[in-house]
Amino acid sequence: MKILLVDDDPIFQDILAQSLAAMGQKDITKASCAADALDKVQSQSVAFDCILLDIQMPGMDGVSLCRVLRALPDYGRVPIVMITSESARHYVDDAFAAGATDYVTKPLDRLDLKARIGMVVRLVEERRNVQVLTRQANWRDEVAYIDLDFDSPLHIPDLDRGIELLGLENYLLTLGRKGSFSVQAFAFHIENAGLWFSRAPRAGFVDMLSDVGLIISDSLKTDAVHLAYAGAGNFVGVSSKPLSTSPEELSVMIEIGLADFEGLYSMERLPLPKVRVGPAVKPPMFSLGSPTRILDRAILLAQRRPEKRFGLTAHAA
Amino acid sequence: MQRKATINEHGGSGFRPASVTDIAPALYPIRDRFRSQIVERVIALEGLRINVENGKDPHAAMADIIAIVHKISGVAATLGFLNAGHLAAHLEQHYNEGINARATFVVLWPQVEPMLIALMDELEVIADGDLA
Repeated sequence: MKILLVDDDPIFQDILAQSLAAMGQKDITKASCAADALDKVQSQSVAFDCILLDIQMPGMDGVSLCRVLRALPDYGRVPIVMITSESARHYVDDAFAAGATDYVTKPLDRLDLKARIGMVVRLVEERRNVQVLTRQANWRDEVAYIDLDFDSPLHIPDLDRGIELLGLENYLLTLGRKGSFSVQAFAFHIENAGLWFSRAPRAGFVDMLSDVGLIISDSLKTDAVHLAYAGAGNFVGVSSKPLSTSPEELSVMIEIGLADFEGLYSMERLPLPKVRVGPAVKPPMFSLGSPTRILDRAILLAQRRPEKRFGLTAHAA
Repeated sequence: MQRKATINEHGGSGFRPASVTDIAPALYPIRDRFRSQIVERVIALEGLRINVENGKDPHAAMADIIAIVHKISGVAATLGFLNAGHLAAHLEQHYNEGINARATFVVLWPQVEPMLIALMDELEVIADGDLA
């Protein structure tokens, strides 16, 4: 795995490089600042598989660098792990909003780092398999999704405020049980997603998800939200503050937004997606469960019949 | 405020062993490098502290102090120096929280300075101490 490590402290660079080498990761390029990192990214003929970023650096900080990297063609989905001594909530929020895949705080714990890097290795291997399939066939859009399973989470390309489900889970785990008390989750369920999946080509199904994601994102206006597609027609979001729009209003706005696509879908003899908006879900006060459970709970509530869902703030059981 | 080498806010004076925990042997050479830079860092911190005390561009001096402390905070505990890492992290956090709460420099410095002195004392112990 080709790793780019960006940190302005040469001693920490060496610590990290040594720790990665002990895990069998030896193809490491070091950069001391954002400008140096971008130079190294541009000069590579083959993109890096993973990027490890410090946050506080002279010049452009790691969060801004993450945002710049995400906008580059080859780096939209490359795992970016923030490794930093900044544990304040706003740094965590900003990092995931900028597209970070994971967030590790210093001092480094060897076992924790090993688990996080193991997760990255699995992600990289999965993506390599997709790339091989893409190269073998010549129809990029269709082949890239040929193995897509209906229930599987998916990265929706170019989704504003969108992150991968794994990133969203890592965000909640990074906040921990204590920090996640202040967040709330909510979900959007596409009722007829199954029908779409069975009738449309895979690339068409992903395009529909992309359309729905775009409309959801627009409807959420200026709310600071992390949004991910969780599979089976479900989008799930996390916000630090109550949404400025009620589920009923969101539902109407999404319906209006999707109406613009009606002509396009009917040409393919596909129905307009029907989206249900679930209530906000807060973590229970007394629970030893994983902070990520509120995502499952939000999805479950969005899938329920409409008459039972509005006007409530639910708690993850 | 006067600095007294090897005396910190947690009490205790004179020589004491460096507070160090076990780390992977592969990190020993990096730890040695970190230790070899400590004296230089303490001298820099002390110079900056005196600049603040004397009102010599105190805001710039404080920013430089925090930049050095930030680096120590990120590295020290990973290399086994838990106490130094904790003192550095605590100082940085306290300073950042004060800034976010719009505390004035006049209020913040008397709170930060004892933490800085405790950190410098701990660093000196690491530099002088035996890691056996």
